[in-house]
Amino acid sequence: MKKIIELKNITKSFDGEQPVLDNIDLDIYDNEFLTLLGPSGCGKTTLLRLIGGFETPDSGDIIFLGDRINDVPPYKRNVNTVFQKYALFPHLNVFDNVAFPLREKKVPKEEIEAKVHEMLSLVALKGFEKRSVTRLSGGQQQRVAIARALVAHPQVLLLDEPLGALDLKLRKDMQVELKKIQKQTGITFIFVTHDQEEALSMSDTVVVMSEGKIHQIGTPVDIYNEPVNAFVADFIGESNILDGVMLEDYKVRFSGQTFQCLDKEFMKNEPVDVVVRPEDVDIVPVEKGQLIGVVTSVTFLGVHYEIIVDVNGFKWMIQTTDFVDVDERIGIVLEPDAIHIMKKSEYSNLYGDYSSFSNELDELSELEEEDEDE
Amino acid sequence: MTNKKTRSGGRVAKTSYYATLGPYSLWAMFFILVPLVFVAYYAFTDNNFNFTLEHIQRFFTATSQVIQEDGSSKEVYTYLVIFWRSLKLAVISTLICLVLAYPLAYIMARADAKTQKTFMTIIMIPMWMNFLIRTYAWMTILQDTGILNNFLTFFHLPGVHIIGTEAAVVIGMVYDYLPYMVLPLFSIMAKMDVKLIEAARDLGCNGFGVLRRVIWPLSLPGVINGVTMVLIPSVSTFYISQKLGDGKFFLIGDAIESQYVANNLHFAAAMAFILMVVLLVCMGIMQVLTNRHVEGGK
Amino acid sequence: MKPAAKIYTALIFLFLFAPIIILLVFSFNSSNSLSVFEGFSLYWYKELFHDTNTLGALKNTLVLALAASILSTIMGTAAAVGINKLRNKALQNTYNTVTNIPMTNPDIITGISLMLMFVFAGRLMGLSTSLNFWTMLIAHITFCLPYVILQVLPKLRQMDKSLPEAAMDLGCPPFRAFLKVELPEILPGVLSGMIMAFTLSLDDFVISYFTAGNGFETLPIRIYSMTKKTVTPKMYALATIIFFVILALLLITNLMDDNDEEAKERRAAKKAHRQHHLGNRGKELIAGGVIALALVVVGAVSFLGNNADTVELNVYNWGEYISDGSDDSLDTIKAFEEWYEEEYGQKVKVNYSTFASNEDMYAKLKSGAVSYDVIIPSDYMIARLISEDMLLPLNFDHIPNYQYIGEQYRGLYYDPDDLYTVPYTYGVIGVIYDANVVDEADIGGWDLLWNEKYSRSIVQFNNPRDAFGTAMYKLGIDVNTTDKSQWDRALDELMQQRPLVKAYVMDEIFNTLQSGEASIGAYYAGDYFIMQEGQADDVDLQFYYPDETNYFFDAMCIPSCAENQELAEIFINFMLSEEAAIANAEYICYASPNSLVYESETYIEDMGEEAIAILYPPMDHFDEKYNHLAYRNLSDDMLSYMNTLWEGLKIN
Repeated sequence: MKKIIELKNITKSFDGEQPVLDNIDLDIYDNEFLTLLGPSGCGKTTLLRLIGGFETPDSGDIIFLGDRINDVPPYKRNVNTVFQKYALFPHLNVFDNVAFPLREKKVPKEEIEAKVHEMLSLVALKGFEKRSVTRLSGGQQQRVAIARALVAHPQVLLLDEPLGALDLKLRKDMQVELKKIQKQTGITFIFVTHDQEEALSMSDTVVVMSEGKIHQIGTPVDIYNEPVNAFVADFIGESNILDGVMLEDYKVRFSGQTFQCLDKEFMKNEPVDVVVRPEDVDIVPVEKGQLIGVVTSVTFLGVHYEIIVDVNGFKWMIQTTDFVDVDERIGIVLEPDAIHIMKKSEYSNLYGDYSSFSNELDELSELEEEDEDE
Repeated sequence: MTNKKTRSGGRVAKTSYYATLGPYSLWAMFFILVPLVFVAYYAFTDNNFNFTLEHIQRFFTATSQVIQEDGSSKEVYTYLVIFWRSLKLAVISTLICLVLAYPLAYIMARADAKTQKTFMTIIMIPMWMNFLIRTYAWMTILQDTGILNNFLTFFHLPGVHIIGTEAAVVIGMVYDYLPYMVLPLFSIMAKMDVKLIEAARDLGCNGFGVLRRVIWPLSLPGVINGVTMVLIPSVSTFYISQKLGDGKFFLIGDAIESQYVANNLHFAAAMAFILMVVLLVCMGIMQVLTNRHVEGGK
Repeated sequence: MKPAAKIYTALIFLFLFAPIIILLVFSFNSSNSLSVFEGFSLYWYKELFHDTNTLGALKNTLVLALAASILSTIMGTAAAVGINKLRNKALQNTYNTVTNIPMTNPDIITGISLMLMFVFAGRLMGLSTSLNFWTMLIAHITFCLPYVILQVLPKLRQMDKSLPEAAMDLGCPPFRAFLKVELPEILPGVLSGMIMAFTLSLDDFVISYFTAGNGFETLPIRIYSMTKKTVTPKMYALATIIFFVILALLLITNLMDDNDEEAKERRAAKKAHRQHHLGNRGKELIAGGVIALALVVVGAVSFLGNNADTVELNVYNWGEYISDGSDDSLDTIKAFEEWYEEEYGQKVKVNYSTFASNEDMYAKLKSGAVSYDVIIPSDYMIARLISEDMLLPLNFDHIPNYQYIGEQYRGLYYDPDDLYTVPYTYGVIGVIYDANVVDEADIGGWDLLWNEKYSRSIVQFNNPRDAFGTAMYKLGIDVNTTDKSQWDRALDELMQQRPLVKAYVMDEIFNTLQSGEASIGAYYAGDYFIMQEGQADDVDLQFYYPDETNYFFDAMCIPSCAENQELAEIFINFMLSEEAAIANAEYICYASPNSLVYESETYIEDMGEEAIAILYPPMDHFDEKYNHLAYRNLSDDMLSYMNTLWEGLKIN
């Protein structure tokens, strides 16, 4: 595959503060749907803006099809952006918004008409040409923004949390549609989000970032199944993360028990992080359990129950379709493929314990994150 | 650290600082800041530009005889009296402006868009006609044989003697600067959410309570703006006092102007400097007080 | 709106428009009174359109306001964009504070501070003039800027910050992105900032007063300097016209806005898209039109200013002190320009500015900020100017008409060897009184102004020299004494008079005496006739000379900063020629020292026997009497002492 953008040793900070991006290396390939995923403040938007040309790196190079473009201003880059709040021009109607980049390029009038119509039908907005953009719904505005960004056939489309302002249902639809558009146009999409579900469902490649660093680059399946450290494991989906010791290949000890696993090539007795996804835990009667715990809370979530189990003071999150009651003693069984071993990192012991867990808190912190984005 | 910063910054912005702020920065430097330095420079130098405190001293120590009601005379500090009188008249005018403008601004803020526009226009129109001529016209209204008194006599009412009194000067100031009070009050009240008032009523406030506890605190920034914009020009005016005061009210503006005309630039600058410092201190105090009030109200 | 609210608003608006209604009504007055309406007439409108100087001042005012508002809008908008982009809070606060300075500083300080700087800078650069159109423009831009910035900034803050980035992203270079995307968004703020700047510039007097230079007089300054003569209803007529023009403009824009709003509504019905488009276009066209027009005007002004074929002559005179073509008289300045072009084949442009007092003129001249070719100050000021080497000796070869100056008017104290001056007018201060109020028995002498019987019907001069003069003539003190105790005596006299005084006046005396507001006052002889013309029905103004009173001369001279002495001398000579001199004498209504005038039969006939008798009181030894009674130049020390005493009187 052809490399379309290469980021080499990119560092960026504002006003002499802590770097927002710290020595970033990233290759982006033609025709791929790449997602920059991370909590707010992780530098993903800054990275996008570097590619868009709205910021310059303090050091490092941005290579576009082999050329260094650090100093090329945005209007000369063959890259377009869909902004978070769309940034549609309120004084122009739908047609004029979409025609804007073509007019800048002095494309002949008939061609503009044709291209705009083509784009509007691509985003299913035929017939809205004369409508003022201020009189469109959020979803429609979103489509106009996409059409406007695509009409001049950029080689790369940057999308800065474009679905953030939409409600859940619309968001799901747009995810599908975006993916479809990407396939249809064959343009490289670089998509920024802090929503891991969104990232997993749409992307060819996911780049997980935090605090200005890239943690892991991989396909959604890789990222989910083989997180490189506790941060990634926690950020992508729910995980129980425990301290463990790798006794030998395929044998790990944690919670006072020894388990079979599929991981190898660790040092003897090396301390490790053990990740167990909540859906991979089997509940069995007490006498059959490898571990035994007491249920402390049960939440019904429709397709399954989410229960918190106290095993010797460590709170496990388990997703199960079997009903258990609070205060019930249960046994836990972990199959070898349910256990994923990671090297210790600076993120160890920060995540993966559900002792203070509550759904409400999670939502609150998500809200705060969005506020910060304002 | 946060995305907030990344959003508004960037390379393009940096280069355009020079283009956008550059000319203004130079302008502000040379035509706003440097001239003020010159005021200070002249205030503290004599005709040969040697340092002196003579002018500042003169302001605080010069005395004159004043004849009192009973015919005896008393010695007073000339410029302090003048300054005090200017402040007093300006403060009275400002308060009257506030009292007059506040209901008007409120009425405007609650009116529909078209009425608002019309009212704004009506308030702005007088400003397009020369202020000297308008003041002159007031003279013919207020004088003893003027239009107002003719009107009163016509209805067999007792006449009023206004021209040449403090009242006349205050009327002139209120008239000239009322729009400066209405506009900032209106702009802040127009932004005020009607729901707040409804909420206050819902929570048991009566009409006056709503005004005192909701509308007034919320309109404070507008009040400050308006007060500043009226107080400053009225404290330093010199035409209004000449025309409507029958030449009997010598205000600080008149004093500065007459020293300028007498080619006494350094003393004129000294008075201007003192006026500037006093106003700065006043504004500072007002700012601090309102900040405290606004925070306290939160 | 509730009825109470309606009534309240109506009352406030009545208050705001009361003086404007007065202006409107009295602009149609057939007499020159500003308080007694004697009948409907369009006379003052006719006068106004003949008054090239006032119209010129109007043009100057508009040019200045347009240029200042456009330039401050451009710079202010750019600055607002920059300030809005600033990330550093401290820097942002600094800019906000600096921006606020011209708004929170009194005009008088802004004016003085700029004047001090311009004068200082001018001296440093060795310029003969440091105040001119450009300094005034700078001053106006300076005080307009904050208003523009404060109008534009909120609009920028409301705007989605990614709009300009989106435009750049889609292929616009930054400046184009600003024009195509940001500007339309903030246009309402920009336009209202511009209108505000225009309004403020138009109405500004104080800052203009301090920064005005030669050759560029604006309307407010012209009005202010009408203090020796009165503000005429001509000015009311002008204000009325301005009022109706603005009203028309506002109505038109309102109608257009309404159309725009209708279009918006229709667009809501998905139909009238095109109309909306037109609405926007219309606004852009108007804005563009206004800017283009202003540029043309400003361009034309600077082009005319730089026209190499035209020589310029800067004349500085009292307000209302030259025949200006009103009432079918001769516009002597225009006549000079025409005559000169015919005679010498070259265009000349006379820049005529006015001052309110000798001191005002002196302050301007002394500051080195202005340069004039011809000035017309009074005697004592001439003496001062000569002693300070500020006048040029005249070359009388260019002024042959000097021969017509009467013998008794030559060799006077202020210019004993007749080197520097050509007398223009002279006058005598007399007492004007209302015969319907004042008893015949009380008249004569200065005592009338101290007569307790007429308490609060007396007006006194509102300038120290003349006010002290009346007291000193009354007490028989030499008005030029250097004995401070004598000045103290005069102050006591004025203190005694103060409770009796209705008002301290200059030009206001016209209105005060005409309307019967006051009944006794001292003023210049010629002005008595003007007052009489517009007096109220129950007022009967009469005039007499006290034995000892002030005689004054105003004379034409050339200041040492003059740039074109020969042309100035030709101008002076022209003003001595029969037609021009008579026109001026009749217009000003003071006595003329020019024999071509006072011996002219048409002049005597035009003025009337009575007037001639008063204007030219028979006198055997005019020069002796004059030299004895006229004001002389006081030393700085004495002047300062007098001013201090005056301030002491005023604070009572």
